[in-house]
Amino acid sequence: MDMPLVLQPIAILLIAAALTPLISILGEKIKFNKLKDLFAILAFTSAFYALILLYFRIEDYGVQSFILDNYLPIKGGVEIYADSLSLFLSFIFCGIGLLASIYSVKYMEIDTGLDRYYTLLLILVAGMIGVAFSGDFFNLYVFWEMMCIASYTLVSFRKYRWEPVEAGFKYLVMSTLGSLIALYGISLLYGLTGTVNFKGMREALISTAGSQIPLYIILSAIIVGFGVTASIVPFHTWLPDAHPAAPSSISAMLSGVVIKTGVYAIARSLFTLFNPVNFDYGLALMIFGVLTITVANFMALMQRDIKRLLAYSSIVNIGYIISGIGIGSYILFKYYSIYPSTSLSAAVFAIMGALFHLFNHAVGKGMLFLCSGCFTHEAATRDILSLEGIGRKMPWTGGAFSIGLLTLAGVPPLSGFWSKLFIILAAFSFPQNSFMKAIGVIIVLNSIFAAAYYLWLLQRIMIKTPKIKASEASIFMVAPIIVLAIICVIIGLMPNLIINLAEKAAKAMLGGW
Amino acid sequence: MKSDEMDKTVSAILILILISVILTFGLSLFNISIPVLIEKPPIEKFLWSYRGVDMLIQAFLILAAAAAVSTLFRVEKGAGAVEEAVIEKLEEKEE
Repeated sequence: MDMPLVLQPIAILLIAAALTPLISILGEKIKFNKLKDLFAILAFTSAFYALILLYFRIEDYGVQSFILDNYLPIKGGVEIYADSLSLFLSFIFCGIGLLASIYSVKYMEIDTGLDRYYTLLLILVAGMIGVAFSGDFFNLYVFWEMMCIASYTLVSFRKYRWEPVEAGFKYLVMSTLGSLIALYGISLLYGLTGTVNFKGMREALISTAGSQIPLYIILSAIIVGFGVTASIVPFHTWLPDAHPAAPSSISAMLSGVVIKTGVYAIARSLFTLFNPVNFDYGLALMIFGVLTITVANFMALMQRDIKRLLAYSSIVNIGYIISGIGIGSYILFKYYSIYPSTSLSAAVFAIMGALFHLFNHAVGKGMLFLCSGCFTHEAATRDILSLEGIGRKMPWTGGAFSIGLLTLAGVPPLSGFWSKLFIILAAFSFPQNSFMKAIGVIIVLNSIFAAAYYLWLLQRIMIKTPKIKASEASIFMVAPIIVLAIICVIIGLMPNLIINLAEKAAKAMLGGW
Repeated sequence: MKSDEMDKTVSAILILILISVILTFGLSLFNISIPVLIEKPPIEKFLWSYRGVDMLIQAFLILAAAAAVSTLFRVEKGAGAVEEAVIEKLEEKEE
């Protein structure tokens, strides 16, 4: 059997998802209930290994693609496609998925229906990798829906409480609306170009003459549609309800990676189809970015619920990522015709900063949600005032929680410092442009503002006198947290490990097809 | 107890359907040659040769939907996890 390598990570996860209920039945028969948990961990590990193999294949032979071309009524069709950008995202998706599944072994022990929980978790990650590996809008949309169905259900998994049901329903309604808006944009693009394939669409759009106005309508539909899942302000209102209501392992997935799929879909669609040199969407992205950072920062300051505060902080960080991508495209639109090589370098730098921050936030926020899961598992509350000093009772979790907060606060030399620095430096790369400078100043002020509430939370959890009895969580819950904390420290000390990957991914994003 | 058995039966049926779908549409992915009759109508050719990948993905989309519905209608045993949100506390005080 010779399955193309580019299909293997998705196929492994989907086949494992289908087999999980059977494995669960087998586990019950042989009186080993953890068999399904181990099977899911094995599936994630295998998919991660397949991604590593794919990485080396791409390094040696360039982009990998799979297309069924035995019968092609339309030029360029359904395609599975992997380049450095797809791979960069997929490593994060699968890595966090693997750690979440290890964490779930103990954390989800109290719940029923775990066979379906793991099935949905595997489908969720397969859907996200599928979105990253889609070479056409049709596959992207189908994978997108697969991811959405799994995430709605996982948010509502603890349906015996009112909060997850309400949050899941809100998420379902808002995300469906967003998906439909994106689908409308895609359908207009299909009408204009006659194909769903990115490559084909791009070629058709280059040769399209006439007004750019319809293209800006399509562009807006894509930003708004996928922006709901990315939780860009003002389409963010589902997130502060959904992320806290979900089990913490799922909150880590949602905040750590699922919302990044929205950012990826926006970036991939825009940069591939609409040349940033000719289309001024960078301005809109920058405005959306700083609006997202500012609004979410103020909202985060008012929270007493630890998971809700972290959820707002996720929106803030999406703002940084969107701003970084916006700065990159704005530089190309404004300056490519005057300074081609300088503007291209500055744009790559800005987008690399955004992608580096995407990685840092996935690792840092994933870890923070897993830590908050350990705290609530022990204390049975999410109230920050009740959780005061709990970090002192749980030194490993508390230590990792501190590293996560300091990373996201951008304290040097932790990894979050470097990515924020790159985005800010990119904003000041053309000092003659006062608009970009203003964006840079807003980002700096917001970073200082955010650091204040991260430090406030750190002081509450780690320094205050403990109010409640608690002890360190199980090794299954602590181990993934320690791994993520180590990644934060190592990447902070040796940022080049990720910068090289992020730079390749940024070039792939700008290089198109 | 009965509903648990029911769940398992439904899961087993779904798995069987899925495996049959994988076996039919998945073969082309594994590069196993399938005898194709030239007289077949174009729609079949189209589905098999052109849309094989996304047909397969859509089969898994149905699996996702089935797993989602089955999750939301599962029978709970025990009290489940306690994770008190701040808003829940405030509401209790108001009552």
